[in-house]
Amino acid sequence: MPKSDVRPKGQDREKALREQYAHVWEAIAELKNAKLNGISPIVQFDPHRESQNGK
Amino acid sequence: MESENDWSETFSGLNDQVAAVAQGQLRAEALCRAYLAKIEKFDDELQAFTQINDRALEQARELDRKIARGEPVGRLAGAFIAVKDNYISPELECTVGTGSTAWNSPGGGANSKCVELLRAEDAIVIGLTRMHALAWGNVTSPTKNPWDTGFVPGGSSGGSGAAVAAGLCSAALGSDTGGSVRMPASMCGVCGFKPTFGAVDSTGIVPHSWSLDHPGPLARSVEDLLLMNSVMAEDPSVLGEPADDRTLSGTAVGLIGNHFSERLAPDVELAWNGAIDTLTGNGASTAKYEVPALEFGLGAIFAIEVVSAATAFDQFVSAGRTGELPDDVRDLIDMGRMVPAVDYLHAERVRKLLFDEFSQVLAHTDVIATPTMPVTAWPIGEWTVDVGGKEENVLDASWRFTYPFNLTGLPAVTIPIGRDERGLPIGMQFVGRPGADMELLEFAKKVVCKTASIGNPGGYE
Repeated sequence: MPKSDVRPKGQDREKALREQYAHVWEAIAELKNAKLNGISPIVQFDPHRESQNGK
Repeated sequence: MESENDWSETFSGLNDQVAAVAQGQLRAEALCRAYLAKIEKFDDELQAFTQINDRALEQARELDRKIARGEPVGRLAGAFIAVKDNYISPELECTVGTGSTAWNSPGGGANSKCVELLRAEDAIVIGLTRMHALAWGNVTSPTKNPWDTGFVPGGSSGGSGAAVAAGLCSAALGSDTGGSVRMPASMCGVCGFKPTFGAVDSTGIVPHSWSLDHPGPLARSVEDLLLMNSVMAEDPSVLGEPADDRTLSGTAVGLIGNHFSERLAPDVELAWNGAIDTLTGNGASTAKYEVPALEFGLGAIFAIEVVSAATAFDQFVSAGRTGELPDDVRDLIDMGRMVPAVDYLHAERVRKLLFDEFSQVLAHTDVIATPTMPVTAWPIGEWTVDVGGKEENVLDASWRFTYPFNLTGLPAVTIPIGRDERGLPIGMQFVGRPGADMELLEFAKKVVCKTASIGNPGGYE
C-alpha cells in the first residue's frame, strides 16, 4: 500500500532536502575546488567495443 | 547429518560441503533439509529472507540422484546459495527490496548471469535475501544482526550478511555500490568481496548506479569467496597451495595516512592496530601513503550515485511512485534531480584523480589495508552513531572506508579480525590492483590463517 504523500512539493521539497542533507550539498559544492587541470571525466562509451557489438 | 536436528554441516563452509557431497559423504537433500529447518526456526526473528525457493528440496534430490548414477557434477554441487533480492532469476520474484516486482524493470528482464553461472555448476538457490530498498542504505530493516538481534546487520545486502552469519546458507550473493557487500559482511562477521569493476557480469541485476555497482559474494571464509568468484568471474585460477604453509614475507602493504585513520571507534582502532601487528609480525612490510583526492570523495560518490539512481528509476519518480519507498531512499532518489550537470562531471573528474592517486600507491605496494568500517553495528532504530566523540549520521560513518573503491573500481575484500566490547564483529579491508582479484583473495586467505577466528554467533547451532 503506497504511503500517502504528506511531504512538501516542488521548491519546498527541494529546500527541505537541501537543509536535511546540508553536508552532502557542501561536499558536492567542494568538487569544483579539486585540482582537476588536465583531468578528463571517466566516461564509459567505448566506440571500438560498441562497433564490435554491432550497435 | 542424516538427523533432522543435526545442523553441524550448515556451518562447515562451501568448500567442505561441496567436497562432502561430491564424495558421497553428505547428501544434498540432508543439507537442504537442515537449511530449510534452520530458516523456519530462526528467520521469523532474523528476517534475512524475503522468499524461499520451494523447489530447492526437489533440486537437491535430483542432484543426489545424479551423483548416485555416477554422473559428473559441477564445482558447486551441494552449495545452497542465498541471492540478494535485486538479482533476477527464473523461479523467484525479484522486488529490489520494495516488495513489488514492478521495481525490477530497470533490470531489463534478463535473468542474472551470475545466478546462471552458479546454477551451471550445480549450485541450488535457497532463496532471496532482504535488502535495503533499491540497494540504497545500510540498515536493511527489518533484518537483524545474528550476533545481537538488537543491532542492524548493515546493508544494503543485510539479508545476505545475516543469512551467512547464522548458517542459513552455504554462501550468498550481494551487490556493492558504496560498500553494500563489505559493510554487512563486516558487521555480521563474515567475509565479503567486491571484484574489480566489470570482472563479474552484472547482467540481470537491477541497476542502481551503472558505473558503481559491483556484484559480489559473501561467505564464511576467503576460500569460499575464491570458489564463488572463480565461478562468477569465469576465472578457473582458483585455490593455490594451502595458505598456512606460506608466510607474508615479501608482501608490501600500503597504509593510507589520511581519511582511513580519521575518526575510528576505539574498539575498531584497537583491533586494526592488532591486525597490522599481525601482518608485520608475519613478515609483511608496511609503508604509509597519502591520497589527497579523498578529500573530495564524498561529494563525488554522492553526485554520481544520486544522479544515476534517479535516472535508473526515473519512470517511477515521474509516475510519483517514490512514496512507496522508505523515507531515506526516497530522499536520495529525489536529490538526483537537484545535482547540476557541471557538478556531476566534476565528480567524474575527481573519480579519475582518485584512481590515479591509488594507482600510484599500488605501484609501490602489493595491497592496501584499511579498516572496513570506522564503526561496528549500531542499535536498530538509531540513525546517528558516536565516532570518536563526534555524532555522525550512520550512512556517513559506515561507508567512509568502502566507497572510495566503488569510485575507483579496485577489488576489495573484507575479513573479520575481532569483536568490540559488545561482542559485535570488526572487519579489515584489503584492496588490490585492478584485475588482480584472485591474487588479492589469496593474500587475504593467508592473513586469515594468521588471525584468530571470531567464531560464530551463538544460538544458531
